[in-house]
Amino acid sequence: MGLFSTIAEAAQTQIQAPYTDALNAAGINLPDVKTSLENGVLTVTGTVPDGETAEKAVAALKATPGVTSVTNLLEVEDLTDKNIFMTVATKSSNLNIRKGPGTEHEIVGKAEHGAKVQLIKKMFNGWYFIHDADGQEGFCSTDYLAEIPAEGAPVQ
Amino acid sequence: MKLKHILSGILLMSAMAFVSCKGKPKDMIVNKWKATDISGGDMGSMPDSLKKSMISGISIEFTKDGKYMANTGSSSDNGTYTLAEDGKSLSMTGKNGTAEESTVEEITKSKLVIVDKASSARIVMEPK
Repeated sequence: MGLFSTIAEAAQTQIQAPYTDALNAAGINLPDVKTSLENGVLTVTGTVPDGETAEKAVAALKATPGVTSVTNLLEVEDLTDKNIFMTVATKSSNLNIRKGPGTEHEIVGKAEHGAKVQLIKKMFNGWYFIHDADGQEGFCSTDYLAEIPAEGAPVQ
Repeated sequence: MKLKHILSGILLMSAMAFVSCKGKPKDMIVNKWKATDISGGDMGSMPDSLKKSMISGISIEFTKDGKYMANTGSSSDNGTYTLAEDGKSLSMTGKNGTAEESTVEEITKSKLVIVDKASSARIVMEPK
């Protein structure tokens, strides 16, 4: 590993310790989950089995000393290898691509009405992390995404 | 003339003594070192209390045969190292084969300061 990698790993373990303890106290064991604290905002990433566990985890982490708010970036499933594509199904406008899974997060891009996007990750609240043909990446609400009918499927 | 030879001899001996006292980087690194400060990289965002606790546990020993043994108090690593002839860069390859390249900011018999090129983490050490 080397000196610095060994130190960084030990530092991460120490930094994560209060959050791991908070999750364990709430009866949640999520070895995959990572946290980082900046100015009181705790960003939590990793994979959880379902949305309910994600909500419980966020509630436990919010109660940790020094944490004023939690940015929940927990994902339920990695869909990259499944090659799932959907189309932007807004009425006519472009679809906002956001920095996080929710309307409270900053808009980082726009996907055109009718554009094809790939689903990369299913988030805790049903939002998706997507990737479009222009290389844009970010979070979109499933309310504005529609399945692409499989080839040979009857046209509705 | 004789006095001139004596003075030259004294000057030469003084210069040699100075060089041997300063030493070569490759000789100076061979020691047991303990951390006195860490900064940058992941350490930058670490609370001071945690940082102090981390620092107190970090040590590394460089041996003459090109091997090192690092300890953080809670974990350890060992492998091989290469220090450039000019003492300005240090390469460490851990037991899993991953190489780490560092810039040596300072190396003397009493102080070693290295900066990780990948993470910009900086560690200041003194003999243990």
